[in-house]
Amino acid sequence: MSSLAALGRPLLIGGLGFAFCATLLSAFGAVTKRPGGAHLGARALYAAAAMVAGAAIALLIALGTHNFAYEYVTSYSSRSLSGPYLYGALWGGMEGSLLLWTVMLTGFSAIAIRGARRRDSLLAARATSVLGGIAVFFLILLVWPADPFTTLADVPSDGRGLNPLLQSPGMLIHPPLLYAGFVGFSVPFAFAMAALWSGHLTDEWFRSTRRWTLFAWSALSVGIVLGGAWAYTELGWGGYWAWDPVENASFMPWLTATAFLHSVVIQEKRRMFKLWNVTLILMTYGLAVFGTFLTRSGILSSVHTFTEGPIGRWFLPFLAAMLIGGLVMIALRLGPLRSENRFDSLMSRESMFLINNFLFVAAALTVLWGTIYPIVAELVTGTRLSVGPPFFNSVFVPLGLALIGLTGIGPLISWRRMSRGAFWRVVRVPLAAGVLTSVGLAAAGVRSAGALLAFSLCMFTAVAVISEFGRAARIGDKAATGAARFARTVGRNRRRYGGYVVHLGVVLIVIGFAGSAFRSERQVLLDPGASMAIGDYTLTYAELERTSTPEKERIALHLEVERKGDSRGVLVPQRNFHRAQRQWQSEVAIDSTPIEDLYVVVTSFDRDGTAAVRAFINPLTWWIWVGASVMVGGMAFIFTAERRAPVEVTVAAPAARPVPIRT
Amino acid sequence: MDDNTMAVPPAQPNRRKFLIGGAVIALTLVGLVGWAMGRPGSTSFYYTTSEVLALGAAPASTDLRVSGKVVDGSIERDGLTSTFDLTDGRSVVTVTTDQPLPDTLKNGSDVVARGAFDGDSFTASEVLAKCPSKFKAKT
Repeated sequence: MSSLAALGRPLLIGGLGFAFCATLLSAFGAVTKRPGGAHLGARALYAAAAMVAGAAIALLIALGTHNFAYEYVTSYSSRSLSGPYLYGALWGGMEGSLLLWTVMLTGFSAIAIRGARRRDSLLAARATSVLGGIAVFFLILLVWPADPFTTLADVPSDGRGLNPLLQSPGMLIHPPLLYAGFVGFSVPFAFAMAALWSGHLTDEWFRSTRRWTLFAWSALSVGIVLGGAWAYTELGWGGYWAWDPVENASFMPWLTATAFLHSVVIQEKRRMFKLWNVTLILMTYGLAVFGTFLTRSGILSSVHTFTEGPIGRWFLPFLAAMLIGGLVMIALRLGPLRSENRFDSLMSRESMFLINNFLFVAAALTVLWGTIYPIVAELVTGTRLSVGPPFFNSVFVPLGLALIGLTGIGPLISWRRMSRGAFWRVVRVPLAAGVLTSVGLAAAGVRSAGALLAFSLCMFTAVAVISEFGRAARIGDKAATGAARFARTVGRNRRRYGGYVVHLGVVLIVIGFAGSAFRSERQVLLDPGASMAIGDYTLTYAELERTSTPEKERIALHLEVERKGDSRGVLVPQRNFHRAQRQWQSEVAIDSTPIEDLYVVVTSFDRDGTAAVRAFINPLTWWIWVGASVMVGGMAFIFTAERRAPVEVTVAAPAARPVPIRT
Repeated sequence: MDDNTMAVPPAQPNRRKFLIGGAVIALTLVGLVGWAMGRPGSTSFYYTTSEVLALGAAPASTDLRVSGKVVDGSIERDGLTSTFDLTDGRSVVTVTTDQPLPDTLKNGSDVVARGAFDGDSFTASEVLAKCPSKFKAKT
């Protein structure tokens, strides 16, 4: 069994060969319009996918059989590691992560190509060639500089084990989801490039990859949220987002992808934004690859301690080739990329989408600027500096508020143009709700102007979105009941109403973010029996519990919690000593309610039992996770829409809903 | 813009409105980024211990980052206050902090401390530790 792992490297080399053949054969087939070549190219890509998957299985076998002859197995696992974490070590290190990335890349490519070949085989052949080329790059990395099957001359008796921080369920699924997001964008990217290459710039490239875009975006969204949840529950600094370069690396493609998801709607409905859409998908994929480069090159200092591998310098030529190639192709196709329509009015759905895109791309460029500014500054002035959270927060609070307001206004405004009177009629109820929220909160004693604005905008947008659902119950057959009309309208426009559910989730998340304006923190040295107060809570040191297992030593502090005199039970923050890594690790205890989280962590113990306790009150944080779940629900609902939604032509129709047009 | 569109009003005044609107938004965003860069804490300089000592108690020393390795045996805790020595191999700076030390901070680990230097000791408001040896394969 263990010897099967020896097949890993030959399989990778075979995969590289097949990916190379897929690239050339598909290109040949597409250019010479020979279906035979395209057919062989697709077959070669399937073979590459199978071989890479085989290589991943070989590495899993090596991990599962504790085959410490492999450097990777020694570095990221140990005999004491078992169950999911043993196999999760597949993405515990750089080489394994790249292998997982390539498994997804070739696997997604094979599935996407299989479907697309039935619809437009020449477009699919060109896309195969692009996807094959990307796979060749990653396989070169895996065969040479980042070979996961490097063997050791002296085989150790045990491995060094997986970083204890990574041994949590969140960490088990967070990296694969982020990779799925990054890699998923390969498919729409490849089809966009294929369309540019062929010169037939119809909607086919994004229609046939719509579900991939949505899948990649959903995976990236959930991956980012899970990363935040993991940081919150495991790292013990009371927060969930630190604007660290590695976090930024995942956030930048998310921002441009969000812009892309919105702007393709315009191309679909109005045949506009064609140039912009191919540019956005190029940016998104470029940022995804750039993100991988940032995290894998060690060029930036980050609290995420990744192996600073030798592969960073391989990425820059790849990224440069991709971006230059993409831009040249776009430049050559400016003619077919022209809009078939133009803006009728500033007060239109189209221009709301335009502002949305503007803000999202500006947000992405801001993060990019903040992330690479240290590199630029060092190159230009020779001084080393870092850009901290205050910069990002200063930009993102106003930008985020503008976007959340736009989320509410956008869907209310009709396509093409809308009169002021009609605008006022749809906007007055949400606006009143927003203003009332401000007044109510101010009366209740909230004084932070930023928070008042944030909560009002959230209320405005929530009411606007809910009113869209209310409208769904009024459209249609007069004889039917409201519920039947609602089910029919929503069922027939799943992408639209699913999108609104996602918007509601975003509103809830923003409420959670706004709550952090009221955060408080206390650090106290607590003797046995003593109490500390924070906010409405009193925490009393009840007892100290020590337990010991072969893997770790555990010291648990039992804290009795009271809120305004009522008991809230016992919180048990812990400190664990992981023997294999000789490493202390704090285990956070959280009492989470919709109003606020009481977040407690023990940072050190003295011999006499005195504990250094750090407690936080994090208001409204609960809503972030609820909002994220609502978002997932909305995404799932969109996925239930038919695979290829019928073309909803609104180009000629004046507006989505009857609105008197005043010119 | 091409001409095969449907009957729409003349585009010129419209187009100007869009350009003006776009320019206003773009300038606002650029202003926002510029303002944010200048806010306290947005950017801070990164120094080695020798550079910090050379800087002394200059006004620029109130918000900076110092990086180095923890000197063996220098970590001390007294209640909530901790001190440790950082070195770049040539000089040593003592760091004092009332923040909890990261669990990965040990003798010899790479540390970035953020705070102020008064010419004598470094008072940190944030301490980050890296421990590459833990995650990196040593052969």
